Amino acid sequence: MKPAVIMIGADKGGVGKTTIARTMLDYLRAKSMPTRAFDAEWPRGTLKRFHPQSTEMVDISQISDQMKIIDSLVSSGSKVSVIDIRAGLLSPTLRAMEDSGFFDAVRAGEFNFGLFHVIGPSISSLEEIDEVKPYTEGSNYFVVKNFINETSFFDYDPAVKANYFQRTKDGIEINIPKLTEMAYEQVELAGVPFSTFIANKTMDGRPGNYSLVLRGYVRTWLMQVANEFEKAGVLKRLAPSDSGSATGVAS
Amino acid sequence: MAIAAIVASARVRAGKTLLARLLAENFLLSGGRPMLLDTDTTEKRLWSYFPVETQLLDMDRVTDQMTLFDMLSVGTAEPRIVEVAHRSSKKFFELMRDADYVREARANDIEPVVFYIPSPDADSFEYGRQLREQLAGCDFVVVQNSYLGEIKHMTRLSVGYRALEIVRPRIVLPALDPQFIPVIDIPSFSFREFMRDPGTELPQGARDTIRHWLVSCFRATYSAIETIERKVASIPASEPGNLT
Repeated sequence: MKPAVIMIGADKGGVGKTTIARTMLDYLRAKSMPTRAFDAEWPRGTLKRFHPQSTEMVDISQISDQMKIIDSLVSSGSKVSVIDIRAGLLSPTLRAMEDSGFFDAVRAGEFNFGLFHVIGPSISSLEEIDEVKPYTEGSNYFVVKNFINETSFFDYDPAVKANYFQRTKDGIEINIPKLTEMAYEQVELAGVPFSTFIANKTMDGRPGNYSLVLRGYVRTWLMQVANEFEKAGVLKRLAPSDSGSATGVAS
Repeated sequence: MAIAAIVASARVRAGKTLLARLLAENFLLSGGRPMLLDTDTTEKRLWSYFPVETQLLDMDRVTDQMTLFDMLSVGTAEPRIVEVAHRSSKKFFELMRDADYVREARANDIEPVVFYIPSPDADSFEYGRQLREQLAGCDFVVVQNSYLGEIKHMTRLSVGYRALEIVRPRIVLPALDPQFIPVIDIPSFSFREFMRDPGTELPQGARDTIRHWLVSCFRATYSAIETIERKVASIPASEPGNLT
């Protein structure tokens, strides 16, 4: 199987891209997919805090760190590399990856590539779509709408909404439902992956003391997110020979 | 092992508070100190009978949901009873399923038991059938409240009725003469106190009728609880299972 690179980013901050990266790591783990992650929120990253074992900090603007990611895609033994791009750096990162020949390799079929573009309900997000579009042709472009703040995505303005959908029509849409704030906060405080919280474990594997109800909320939500990934065919597109059919959420 | 009794129905005025009271008084009579939880923050009926022992919890509030399920699963020896208000029913059972409550409770030596009171209509039995299916693995007791009236022939032919008809254990609560309902509905009326000393305020006939009814109700509930406790005790800890 060809190695796959999943890039998760947004040019706008606060749209929940690290949350999406965290759910992706849980999803891939539930699918028993050998995965590594890179946190580009250099020098201190949130993804690294929740997934310290599998995540490495990188400064993706540095050529040495770009080499660290790309040159080891085959040799690392991980089938999927997830990169959480620092807020505001999606377009520059894509440009840098283009300059490094990464997209040539993708077009030549050496790697599978998926871009998860986390969109916010703002005009600047619409503009972002135009900026990243040149890098999405021939690749898997996932437009992720994160409803974490009960966003409406222009439901109030039909003209803007039509424009929005016109621009995202080539993308594969993924809708991330809202997780109850209290449950989200508790996972934040626990500082563990969502699946570990559900299993009522601490980071070092000891029994946790998390609320049964909040674990229930997180379980249901993570299952819905996994269903969205399934529906979008994430693994079928990016890791075709290794993807299972069942939705996996650790319990 | 402690029982967590979950009292539910598909309709309002099905007798949930009556059953919760009977279960509570049964545990009190046996020397237990049940934790009582009332999810009906509007009518607060269970709370009105046991204001000291009952905690009122609003299922629309996440903090109350957390308190409720924490109390239902905490590993202590006290039995616990929750009256699931009609309007909270959907939320309660969704949470129960999503939180994998049954597994958590059993891990803490708590045996959850749903006491479901169907009304005489087919939809009510169907709701109970679906609920039981949804909570597969959880002990389920069907409570027939005779006060609600006869079950119609057409209802008896329904899939829901047939599915619940075979569920054991089963509780049949006899109907109390309607003229005595206002007596037992008084918040200060304690079943166990009345059993100990019915007093002299009521005429002898009324006292005998209520006492006779109470004995039948207590017998029925006690028998169901005993059956559950016996069967759970006979199942090895590694394989807790449905009693039905």
